[in-house]
Amino acid sequence: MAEEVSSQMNSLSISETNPSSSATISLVSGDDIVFKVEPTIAKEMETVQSFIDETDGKITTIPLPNISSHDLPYVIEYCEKSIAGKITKEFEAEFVKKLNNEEVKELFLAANYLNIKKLLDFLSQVIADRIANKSVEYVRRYFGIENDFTPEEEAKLREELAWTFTGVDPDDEDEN
Amino acid sequence: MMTLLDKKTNQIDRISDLPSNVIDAILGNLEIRDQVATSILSKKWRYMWTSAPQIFFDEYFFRSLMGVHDDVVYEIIIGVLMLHNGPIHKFSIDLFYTFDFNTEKFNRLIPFMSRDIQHLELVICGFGSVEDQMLDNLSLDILFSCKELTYFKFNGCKNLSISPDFRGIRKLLELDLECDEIESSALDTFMSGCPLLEKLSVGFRFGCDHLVISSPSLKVFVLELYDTKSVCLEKANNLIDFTLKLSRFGASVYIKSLPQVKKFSLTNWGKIPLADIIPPVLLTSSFSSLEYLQLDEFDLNDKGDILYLVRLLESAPSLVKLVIQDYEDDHSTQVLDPSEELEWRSCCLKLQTVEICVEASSQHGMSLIQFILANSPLLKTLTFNFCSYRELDGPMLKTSQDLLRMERASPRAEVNFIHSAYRRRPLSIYIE
Repeated sequence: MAEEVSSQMNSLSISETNPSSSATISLVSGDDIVFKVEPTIAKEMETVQSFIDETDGKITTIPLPNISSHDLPYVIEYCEKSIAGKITKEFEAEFVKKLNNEEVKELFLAANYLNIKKLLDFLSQVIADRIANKSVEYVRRYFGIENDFTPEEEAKLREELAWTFTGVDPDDEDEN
Repeated sequence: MMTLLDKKTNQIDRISDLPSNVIDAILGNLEIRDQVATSILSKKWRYMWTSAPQIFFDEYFFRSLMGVHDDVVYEIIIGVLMLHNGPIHKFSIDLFYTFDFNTEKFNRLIPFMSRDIQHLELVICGFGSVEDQMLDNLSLDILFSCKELTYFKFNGCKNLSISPDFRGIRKLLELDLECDEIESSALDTFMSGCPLLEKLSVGFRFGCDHLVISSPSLKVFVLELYDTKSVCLEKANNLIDFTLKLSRFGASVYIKSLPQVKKFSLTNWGKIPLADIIPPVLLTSSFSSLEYLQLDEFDLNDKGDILYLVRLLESAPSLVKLVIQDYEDDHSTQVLDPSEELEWRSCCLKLQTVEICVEASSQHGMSLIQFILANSPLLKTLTFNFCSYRELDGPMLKTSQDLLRMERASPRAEVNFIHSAYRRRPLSIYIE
C-alpha cells in the first residue's frame, strides 16, 4: 500500500495557501501523510467542506487526525467513484472484498467523522451483513465490545430473548 | 493521540460510542431478530435497538421461528413493540397465509405505532387465495390515529369498510389494498379524506358494481377487478397512469370515463372484447395524450380486437411506446387464409418502440405488425419475442422471414427477433 500512496504524497510540510495551489486540497492523515485531492472530492466530505467554507477557502490543508494513511485512500477512491456517478453494485462488491473486518470498521468511523452520507450508508449495510445471523459472542468480538453485564443479568436477558438465538450461525474464530 | 500501531494492536471499541443515529443505520440493516439480540452485547447496547425507526417482521423472522406456536410468535411481536421506545416510522409484517391472525390481533398492533408511523405494510404471502385472507373485516377507520402515515399496504381481509364520518389520513400518498369485498362507496369516502393521495393500487372481487373515483390528487391507479361492471374516473382529472387488470372468470367491465392519461395498461385475462372495455367514445376523449400503451393477455387471433386496436392507435397521436403480450393459450399456429386478410388505410403514427411477445404466430398479429411498420416513420425498434418451449422451427423461421420482408416507413427502424423458451412476464407494470 505504501508504494501506491507515495505517488500521491507531497511534502510533509504544510504549505501556505497561494492562488495557484488553491486548486487542490491537502488532506493530512493522522500519521502525517499528505493526500492531494481535487476540491470536488472535498465537497463529498461534508466535514472537510465546511472547514474550507468557514475559512473562506483560505485554508486548503486539512488535518484529519482520526484517519490513518491506510484508510484515507479507500475513502478518496469511493468519493472519486461517487462524483463520477460510477457507484455500482459491482464496484461496491469489489471494494468491500478488499476490506477485512477491522478496515470496514475504521472506514465506517472515517465516513462518520468526515460525514460522507453515501459511504456511511453503504458501510452500515456491510457491517450489518457481516454480523447478520451471528452469535452475541461473535458480535462482541467483532466490535470489540466489553461485556459489562453480571453473569446473572446476562442469563436473565438471554432467557427473555431466547427467541433471538434460534438458528444463528456457529462461530468461526478465523473470520476476523 | 492514539497511533496507528495502538489501533492495530488493541481492539478498541469505538463503535459503541457513536451517536445513536449512526448506530441506527447499522441496526436498520439488520433483521429484527439480530437487532433485538444486540441488547445482550453490553449495557450500552441494552436499549440501543429500541430507538431504531424501522421494524420489519419479514419472512426470515417467521422462518426462524418455524415450529413455534403462532400465538407465541404473535406475543413475541407484541413484546418487541412494547420494548421499543421511540418513534416507529416504518413497520411491516409479511405473514405466511397459514398464520393464525385476526382483526383483533391487527387492531392491537396499531396503537404501538400510530403517532409516528409513516409506512405501514401488512402482507400475506404464500398461496393467497381469497379463503386464505385472514381478517374477516377491517375498518380503515383504525388508521385515523396514524396522522403521519404516507404509505399503507394491506392485502389480508375479506371485507373492507369505512364509516361515513371517517375524517381521513391527511398525509397519505400511497395506498395498496387487496380484499375480497369492498363497500361500494368506501374507496371514494376514504380518498376524500386523503387529499394528497397520488398512487392507489386496489384489487377486490365484490361489492362495487359501479366504481367511481373522483380524487383530484390521484396520479397512478392500478385496479384489479372481478365483478365490477363499470369504472368512472372522470373526476380523477390528474390521473396520468392507469392500469386495469381483469381476471379470468370475471365480469365484463367497461371504462365509462377516463381523463387524458399518459400511460394505459390493460391485462385482459377475461378475453373481453377490447371495444367493450374501452368504448369508442373514450377513443376520442381520453387518449390524445397517451404516450405508453401496454396490452397484456391480448388476443392476437381476434380480428375484432386487432381492428379496434388500430383504431385506438389512430386515436393516440402522442403514443411512442406499445407493448403487447399475447394471450396465454395453447393455440397452435394458424393456417393462412388469404380471404381473412385485414386491410387498413394508412395513417401516421409516432411510435418509436414496439414490443410484441407471442407464443404462436398468428395471421392477424402479423397484419398488425405490418400496419405498424408501414405507418410509423419514427420507429426505432420493434422487438418480436417468440416465447415457446415447443420446437417451432418452421413457423418461427417463416415469421422472421415475413418480418424482414415487411415494408418499413422508418428508415432507421431496427427489427429484433428473439426466441425464448419461457414466457417472461413483466414483473412490474411500470416499465420505463
